[in-house]
Amino acid sequence: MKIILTIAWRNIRQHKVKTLIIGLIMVIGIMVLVVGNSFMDSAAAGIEKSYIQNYTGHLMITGESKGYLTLFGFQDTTAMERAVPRIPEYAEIVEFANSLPYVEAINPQVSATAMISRGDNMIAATQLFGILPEQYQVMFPDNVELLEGDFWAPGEQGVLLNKTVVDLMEKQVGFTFRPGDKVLFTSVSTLTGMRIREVEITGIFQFRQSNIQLDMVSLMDISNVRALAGMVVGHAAPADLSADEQSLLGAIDEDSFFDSFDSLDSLFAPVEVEQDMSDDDYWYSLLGETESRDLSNLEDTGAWQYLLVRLTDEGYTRQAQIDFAKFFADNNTAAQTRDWMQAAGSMAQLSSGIKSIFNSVVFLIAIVAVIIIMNTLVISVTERMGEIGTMRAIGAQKGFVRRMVMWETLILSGLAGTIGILLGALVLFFLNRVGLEASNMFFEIIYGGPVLRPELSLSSVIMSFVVIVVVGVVSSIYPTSIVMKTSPLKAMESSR
Amino acid sequence: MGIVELHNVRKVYTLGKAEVHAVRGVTFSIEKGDFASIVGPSGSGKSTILNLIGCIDQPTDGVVSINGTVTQGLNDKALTRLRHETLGFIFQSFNLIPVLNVYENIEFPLLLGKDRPGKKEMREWIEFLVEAVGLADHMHHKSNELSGGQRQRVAIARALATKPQIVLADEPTANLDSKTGQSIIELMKKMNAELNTTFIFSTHDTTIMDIADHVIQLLDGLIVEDTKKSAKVGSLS
Repeated sequence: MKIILTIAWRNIRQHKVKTLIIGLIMVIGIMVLVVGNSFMDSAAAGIEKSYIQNYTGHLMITGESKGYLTLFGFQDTTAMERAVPRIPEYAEIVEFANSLPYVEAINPQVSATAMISRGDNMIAATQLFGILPEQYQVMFPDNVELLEGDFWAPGEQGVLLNKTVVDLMEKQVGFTFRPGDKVLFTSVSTLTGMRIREVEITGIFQFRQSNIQLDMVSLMDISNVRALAGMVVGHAAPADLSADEQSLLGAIDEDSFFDSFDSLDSLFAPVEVEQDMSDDDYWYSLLGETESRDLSNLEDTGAWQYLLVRLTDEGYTRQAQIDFAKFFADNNTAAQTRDWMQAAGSMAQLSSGIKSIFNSVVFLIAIVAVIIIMNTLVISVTERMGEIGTMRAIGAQKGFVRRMVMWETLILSGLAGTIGILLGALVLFFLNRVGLEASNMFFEIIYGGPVLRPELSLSSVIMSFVVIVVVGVVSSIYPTSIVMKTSPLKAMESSR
Repeated sequence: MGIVELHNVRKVYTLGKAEVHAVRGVTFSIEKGDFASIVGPSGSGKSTILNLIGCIDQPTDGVVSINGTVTQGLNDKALTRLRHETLGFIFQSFNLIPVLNVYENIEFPLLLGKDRPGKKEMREWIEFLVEAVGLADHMHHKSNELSGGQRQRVAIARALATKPQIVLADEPTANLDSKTGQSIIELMKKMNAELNTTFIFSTHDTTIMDIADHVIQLLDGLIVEDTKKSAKVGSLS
């Protein structure tokens, strides 16, 4: 073994041009990989920390549902077609969550999207988080920076508007909004119809760590958000009728609505009014009964869409998922847990998506690198046919020469990899000191904040070593096969 | 029974659609301790016969026996082991491993086998060989720091490192001036006498072949004369 390593090492030193070409490709490749992945990991860690600490907690409990359900509602093609499910057996789930020793805090929420209008003008849209201020501030103590006003008082109603939303509104109407002003919130859904609420602005705030998605989020009292989200006692999802039930209702078509009119004249026939128009009972009877309408506006108190859970340590996440799943199964509760990344929605996944794209590009570059390295190695071993033939002639088995070429590539890869990682670490150290400022919103999303200070991540170092070893081994397969086929006759031929 | 025996050996190479009959039925025997020379002009089949004896090529027909082992049918691993244990090689262009120094080049074959001598024994043996080929002062020189003659001396020491029964030398003096060539042949003769190792070398230099005690002359793939120093053993086989 020692002689293989000696020959491999000296060949690396002897063939300087080959070493330089392969070494440079590997050093640059690994440096880019280390810097890129550390950069992405730092950004992802920043986003994760930011979301868990400020918006999602470690876990999000929701009613059981398929599809891409986030804290902002469904973010898939079914978003307009269905409502976010309520959490069933909410009180029992809360009790269970509070009984778990690793659960630090919980926070219930409801989400709705609404247009804001003043007078007849729709002036902005906002994502509403319906919350209980005291519980919300315990769960996320540092995420809200109040610029004006305050949360609404317990038991009262109000909205904390996001500064970005306020700026948009002011730009639209040309005057300022202040705490005490009232605005209309309108939500429209194919399931719950149009719902309008007038709510007083109690304050203006901004999230300390935000992004383009969170900038559109305003905080509102739970009663109004429930109403805007259609979470009312009288609301029911469209009924699915059986075929028999449909037949009982009879066939309905457009003509059936007009069948009773013999002619248009009947519409204008004089109406005889016998009752006293000043009688209140008369007006009530004219308007019809209002019980159903009242019921459809009666808030479904205790209904929540999300229960966010913060754990004492991130390491308990898996344990918590298992415990909750068992609890749901044991109690036949149609609820489920989702991790912070799903809760956070598309913005948080953007960085992991970009990382995937980056690694795909790296993969393509790795293929090109393999081809270049392989080509250089082929030239190298072809030049050394006589030497390899001599070794075979004087008693070296095929395995010996195979290992020799393999080790040569591995030593070179290892050295280049180490240099690449060190250079990458140096670049990262420099970037960490300087800090990368996000020049626009896009980079702010990727960075997970306005400034990114990337750090060398262990996963990027491990990944780089794996890549370099794979590149080294793969690129030496073909040259090794040439070496393996080298006959000792080559020694004689090269000798003449 | 000879240490090397060839019986009716033929070797045909295919070059495109043409067949080249390099060896056309050769039979001879070389005894242990012989200092044998295979001579003949270019294309007479010297190198082919040396390759067949060296187990780096297989005959098309006939039997090649090395130290009692018939080489036909042996796989690459077995042939390599046979080469390592029984044969030593000296090449026309020395073929030293360029990244190794004199000592390491001689040591190299000793590190290939499974049954390696002890470190001390190995060092003493290599130092003896280095001394014997007159390169004690160049022990740690790389091959590119040596003259042609010195390189061939290293090659001789390397060929003898595993204490082989047979050393094959393919025109060992072809790339050397006549004086150096003479000294190399004398060195080989000396090692042959001292270690009783069989030396078989190809050459077309008539002055060198005179030193051999067994001369096999080839022409167009056939033996035209097989002479031992003491007696002629056959011709036109």
